[in-house]
Amino acid sequence: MDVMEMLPQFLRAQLAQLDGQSRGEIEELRLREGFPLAVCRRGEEWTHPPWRRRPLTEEDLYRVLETAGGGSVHTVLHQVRRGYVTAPGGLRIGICGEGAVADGDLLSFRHVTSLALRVPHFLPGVAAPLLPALTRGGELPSTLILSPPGVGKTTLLRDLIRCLSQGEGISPRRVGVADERGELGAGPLRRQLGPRTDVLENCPKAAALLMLLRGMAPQVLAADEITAPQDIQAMAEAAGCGVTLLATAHGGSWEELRLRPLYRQLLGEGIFRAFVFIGLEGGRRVYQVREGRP
Amino acid sequence: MTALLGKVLLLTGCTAWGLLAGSRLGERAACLEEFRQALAALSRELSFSLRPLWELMTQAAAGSRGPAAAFFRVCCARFAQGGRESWAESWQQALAEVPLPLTQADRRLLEEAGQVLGRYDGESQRQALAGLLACLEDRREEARREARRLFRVYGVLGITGGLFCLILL
Repeated sequence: MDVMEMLPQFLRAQLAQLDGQSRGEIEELRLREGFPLAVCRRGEEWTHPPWRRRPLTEEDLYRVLETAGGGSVHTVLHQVRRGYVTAPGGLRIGICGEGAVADGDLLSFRHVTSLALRVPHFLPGVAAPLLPALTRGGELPSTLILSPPGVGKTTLLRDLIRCLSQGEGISPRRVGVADERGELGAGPLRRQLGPRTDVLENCPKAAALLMLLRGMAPQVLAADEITAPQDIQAMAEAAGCGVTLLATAHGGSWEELRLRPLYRQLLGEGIFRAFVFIGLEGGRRVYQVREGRP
Repeated sequence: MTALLGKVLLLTGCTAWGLLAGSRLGERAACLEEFRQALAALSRELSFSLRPLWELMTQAAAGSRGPAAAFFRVCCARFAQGGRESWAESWQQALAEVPLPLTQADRRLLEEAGQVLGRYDGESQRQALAGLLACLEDRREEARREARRLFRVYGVLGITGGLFCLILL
């Protein structure tokens, strides 16, 4: 599914003013009320000169959210309350604005002032050069992918899942995917994750990992963005059942990772045996593989 | 002989006109019932599966017949144009576009549904629809009563009109 279909007409018209190569390089769209549309390419924000004449309105931002959510607040409300909406096809939209809060919980947004649309990338083959360094005897150890936000963790994870599921450069495995945000294998993306992949979508990660473990007998469990203690608990439980784990986490280096108590625990338990760091050098992605406990 | 045949045809034609006009009165009640059933199904899904509106509307279009099905199809098609219209606008436009055998008051009632659908959490929408469904049921009953009463009136008017024409001729 083309993510353009998930955008409202005014955004499609603006993006159509870019040439094909520029459109292909877009990593994110940045929409801010009162400012023109900006796109992120190679980590930098950029505004096409003709767009500068059209500052965005709050109505534009609402239209983006309504189109992405299929005009159905009830369907995406649980996501809105966590500050994002994922459109079919894996297009994730981060939301900023004035929250409406009751009893300490975010109910919805009174005003929306900024949106960040992260364009999903499916790059078959992106994991292939890393597999020789990661695997031992055709087997993949439990692997954690680390990088700052927006550098390509999810894209690499998606391709690792596909390689495992298809047995491409590695022994084929049955993969269970806990896709809490609908970014990894939501809707039509699921079929691109290979024939041995089962996706549990829009379900809290920790619960989804255990449900997959109980119900689908996976050989590999994959989850994007480990962020909560219960995620780590569920991963530890799965690791104890002989399942290989694949996950991503925010972090630019070992030092950064160790600074965060949550990840200190994760590393201390020795669940993951291999680590992939992704960084940007001169606008290009650089992958670094490390093995063993830190 | 020809004159007699003409008189019989005239009387039959007028009577048929009256009965036909009377039977059309039942269309409003049938249409209100179709909307009531579709919205009731939609309301159930809103509190259970939380499926997006376009899926629920497509299901409603497939499960309904007649003008209500056409209405849901048009509504979906308009919204699917991709961010040109909100659901409320698509709903409003579909009400204006699709010929429905409804009164202005019926339309106003359905317009209210368009203002609620897709804009709030499932429970709030379900509560709003519950009130609307009760109103639709009342209006359907009223339409049925009126249709039954007026069917007889129109039938009698048709026959009387035919006889009147015969006398004039």
